[in-house]
Amino acid sequence: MSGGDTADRIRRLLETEGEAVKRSTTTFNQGRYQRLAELEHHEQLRDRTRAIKESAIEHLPELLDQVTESVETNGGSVHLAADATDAHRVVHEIVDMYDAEVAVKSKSMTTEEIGLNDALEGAGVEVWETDLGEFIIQLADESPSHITAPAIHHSQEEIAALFAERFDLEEPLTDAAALTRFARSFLTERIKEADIGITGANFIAADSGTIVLVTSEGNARKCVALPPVHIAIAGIEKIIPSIADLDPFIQLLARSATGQDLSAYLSLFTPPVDTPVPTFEQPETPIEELSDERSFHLILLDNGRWDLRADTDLKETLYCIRCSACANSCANFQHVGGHAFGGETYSGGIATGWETGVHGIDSAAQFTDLCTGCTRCVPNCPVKIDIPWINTVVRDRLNRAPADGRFDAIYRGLRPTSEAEGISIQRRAIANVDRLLRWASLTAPVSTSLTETRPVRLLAEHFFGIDRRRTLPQVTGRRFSRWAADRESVQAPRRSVVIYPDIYTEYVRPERGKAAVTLLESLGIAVEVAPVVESGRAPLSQGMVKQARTRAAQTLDSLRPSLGADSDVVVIEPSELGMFRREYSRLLGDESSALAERSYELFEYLFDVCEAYDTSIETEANGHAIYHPHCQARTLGIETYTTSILEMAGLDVQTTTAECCGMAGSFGFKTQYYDLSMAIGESLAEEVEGAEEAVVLASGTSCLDQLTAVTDTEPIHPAVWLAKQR
Amino acid sequence: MSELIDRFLDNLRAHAGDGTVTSSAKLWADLKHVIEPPAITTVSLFDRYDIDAPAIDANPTVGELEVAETGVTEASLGIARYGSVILQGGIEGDELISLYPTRHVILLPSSAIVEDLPAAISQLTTAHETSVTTSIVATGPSATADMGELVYGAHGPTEVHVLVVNDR
Repeated sequence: MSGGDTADRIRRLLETEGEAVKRSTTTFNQGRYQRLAELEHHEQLRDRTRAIKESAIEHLPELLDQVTESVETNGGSVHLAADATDAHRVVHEIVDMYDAEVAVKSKSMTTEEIGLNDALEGAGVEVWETDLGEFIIQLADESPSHITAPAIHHSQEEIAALFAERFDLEEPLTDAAALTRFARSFLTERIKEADIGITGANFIAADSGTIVLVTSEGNARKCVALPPVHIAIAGIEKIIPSIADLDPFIQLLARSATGQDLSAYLSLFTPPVDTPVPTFEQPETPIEELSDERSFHLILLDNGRWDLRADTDLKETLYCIRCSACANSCANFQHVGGHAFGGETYSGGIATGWETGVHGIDSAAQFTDLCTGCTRCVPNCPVKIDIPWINTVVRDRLNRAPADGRFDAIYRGLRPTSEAEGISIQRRAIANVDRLLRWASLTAPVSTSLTETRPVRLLAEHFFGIDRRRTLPQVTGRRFSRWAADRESVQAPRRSVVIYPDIYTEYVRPERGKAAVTLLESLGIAVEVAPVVESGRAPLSQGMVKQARTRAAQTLDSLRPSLGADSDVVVIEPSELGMFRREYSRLLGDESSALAERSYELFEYLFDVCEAYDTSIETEANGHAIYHPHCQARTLGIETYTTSILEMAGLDVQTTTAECCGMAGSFGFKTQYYDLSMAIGESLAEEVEGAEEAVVLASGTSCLDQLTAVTDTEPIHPAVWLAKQR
Repeated sequence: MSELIDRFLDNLRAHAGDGTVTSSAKLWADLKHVIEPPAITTVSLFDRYDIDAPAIDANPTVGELEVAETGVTEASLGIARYGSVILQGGIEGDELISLYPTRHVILLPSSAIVEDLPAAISQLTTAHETSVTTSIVATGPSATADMGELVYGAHGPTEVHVLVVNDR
């Protein structure tokens, strides 16, 4: 899809679905934070779920044998389906076996994945979705926009209008309770008629053959209890050794999904179940005289999962328990929903892994760029999947894939045929932003005036997809490291640090660096500045892993002399610290662990020094501050140090809750994502509004750019603000 | 013990259910207040609790299942932390009686209340190793948010009332 098409599609979805999606996802998101904060041993539970899933996927062949034996011993049948077509074949055989005419389903993304409803209808079977969200989707003939709340993109009014139209109602139903009653009574009749009930499975216990379903409406229970035949369809990754392993998953799942302690029903079925089969056509029959003859078929679906299991980088996808926390904690998803941030079936951050695995990489190609690598999903994933890394890897593979019409013709014409085959000029320009900044710095202020001219902006938009509505960074000729080189060092320092000069501090915001030096020196810390080497963040964000690895190695080399016993590295830009602490272990392995251990974000370091030397940073200032923490800082759990220092300095600090500012490095500059980026920025602006007297603070260079663009305030880096007070 | 019961009931109410404490001697008197006729149950529940209550049909037909306002069943376990109950299915149709009527009244022996989920999971593990084929950990009434706001009473019961029997 071209950049223009992408922009149009996103704009349309922002208008039609954005509001409803945002309302629900942000409610889920806040609920999750509240519930998980109350949960003791949260991290240990995540470690346990992770360990169980790792082991289960490792031992999948044995577990498959075991579950087959258990289900067959219980009296059911197990079918292994290689792909969607194979699964359809199995279902057709079962349908024929029982002469089924009507099937009812409870919610299952796996059946969405294989297009089961169409296959059943093709075989002459009437199918009804009984989960109310899926029922809406079925009536509207749409695809789910969210993996747990499929109709999240519809407002109540739209649902009422849909029901009125589909059921020819004279007056639309006016409230949620009436809509629910109507759907319940319609679907109750369908479930009574049904020959087959189809469910998915959240978990399957291998040792007992138990199907575990986490639901709240009661429809899955009815789909199992009423029809005489039960088909459960699940991916092979759903198998866990035993019911005994459920505890950590159940403690985390509903909290992570909807912000509930538990969903209304955690159902365990070891089918065929012994509930008598009600015969609604013979209402006089006493329940105790009903037959308990039931059939059960378990269809275990591969559809690319074996290959995922063998894929070192994407294997983690199989640990996913489909809670949707990665979607709900994602600023992009919150604003545009799964119809943009999703492929054929799955949506949200982890969907890149699922779509690549089950539908192929082209399905992921259309949305993986919507992962900006902000990492807010990382601490929120109950099975600790590194979702940004999955997105990076898939982007890297797409970059290497032969062009197949994914890019504008203009880009294709310009693309060289070297190893950069497949990488758009937009990606390459962003990956090499350090060179652009250095060139602009050398020629500033001419370059700055020039880049703001209309012809240059039009060319930049045309060739690089840099949206002309964005203000470009104001590059300065007065580089931070040059300023620092001329300074005298502190006499008899307490400690020594080396500041890592990220390219934004170096070329665009040297005042951050100067303020950092001032604050550190005021606490008796000697400061040196390391050579300027781009950390690899820029190419990594574009999925250029090889180039990122080279830059990472160069950065590590440049900092290695500073990693002695009596020196630390101080980082100003939080996303660079994210590189050192998270991504470098992926790129460089254990070699980078010394850097990860010895580097600190500026305020983290200031706080530690204040604690260690029983000193403080005091100012004459007082008043109110609104502080927007950088997404990476929040993931690293270091934003509280900034708050503490600001409070120490006399401010009353209010922290924003936005997961990300929406600029996210280069994301907001890209023409195709400008509208989405601005929509996210406007949500952030709402948190800043109405505080005219407050000082607005943000640590990230992108966050500062975005806050400048979307508010009337003059946002400032907290170090710069502090240095000015002294 | 009463502290555990209190916590169970508080958390049940926090999850949109309701509950009261009763005893074997007062059971029928208290049941009368919480059932809405027509009400159905199973014969073995009557036997176990030694109830003889003409207002509750212990041998319902399929037609009576469909029109029942109240279903009365027993829980095998209660979880104090969430006010949840474990409902086990069986050949008498407990699952149908729990699920179909609008109001679900649950008898819970106070000795079956455990502190937290891990104890419940270990009970479920044992139960499904033997003859139990259906266990539902139910927390409050059925619910949906799919129609634009939270509604209690989706496909399952709209109201849940637990009677904690304190001498059992």
